[in-house]
Amino acid sequence: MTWNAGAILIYMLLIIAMGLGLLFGNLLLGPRSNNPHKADEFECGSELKDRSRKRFNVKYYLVALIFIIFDLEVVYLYPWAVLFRKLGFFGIMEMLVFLGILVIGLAYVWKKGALDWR
Amino acid sequence: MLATMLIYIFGALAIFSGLMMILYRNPIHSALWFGLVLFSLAGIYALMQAHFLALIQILVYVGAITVLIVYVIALLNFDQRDLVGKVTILKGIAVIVAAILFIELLFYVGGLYVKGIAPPPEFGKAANIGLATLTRYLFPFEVISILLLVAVVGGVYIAKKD
Repeated sequence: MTWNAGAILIYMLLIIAMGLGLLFGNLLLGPRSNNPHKADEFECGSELKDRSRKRFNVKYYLVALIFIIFDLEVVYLYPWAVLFRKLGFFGIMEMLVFLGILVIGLAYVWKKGALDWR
Repeated sequence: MLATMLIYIFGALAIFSGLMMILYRNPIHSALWFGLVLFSLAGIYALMQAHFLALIQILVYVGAITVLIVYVIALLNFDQRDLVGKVTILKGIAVIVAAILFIELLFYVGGLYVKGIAPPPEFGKAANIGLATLTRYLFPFEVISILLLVAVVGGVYIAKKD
């Protein structure tokens, strides 16, 4: 393995080390109190009316779903962009078909109002 | 030498976090362990010189898919006490299907292990993936867009029924 190619790996290991370092540093250095009331739910001092664990609105899921679909679409644009010159006109047509089909999806989402937060 | 060592470390991390994913009772914890499984796979990709694949793995799988799974869990929000201890027909079917899949995987991976298949040297580079998807596998590539279209239309249709 050549090490110029290992840069991303070093980066990943650094991130792991930093995350773990922050966690354990906190564990070592931070003050600790094990009061049972620490885990209580607290809402500005007023009485609790409900549990904090509730079902989330489906809108959040919808946003995540739409994001993933168009995220995946963009993923395929990267290799295409790398090969853009090599593939020429043929490549543009390929990508236009691909994007065209997905634009139908975008139009549907837009028409349905899934992009509005209501 | 170092690369081989790191592959073993990432592999061990993947197996460990996969086990943790199954063993944790809280579904949110399981989802986070699942994210770690995907991350360690990205590490293995990076070690196989497939940098594009490694980055996409982190961007799409660790970033997006895990978030989606967390949202699904938050959306369902079942009481995890309901999940424990009851044997149902569905669970039985799940166990059987999982066992069949596991045995299949064992045969497949075992076969690869015997044959000793190494990935081609240009495996996982952006240009190579592009060349494969845009020339040789052009039709499957275009079908992906239809698959994505079906997914987005289906999701919006179900969620926006009112």
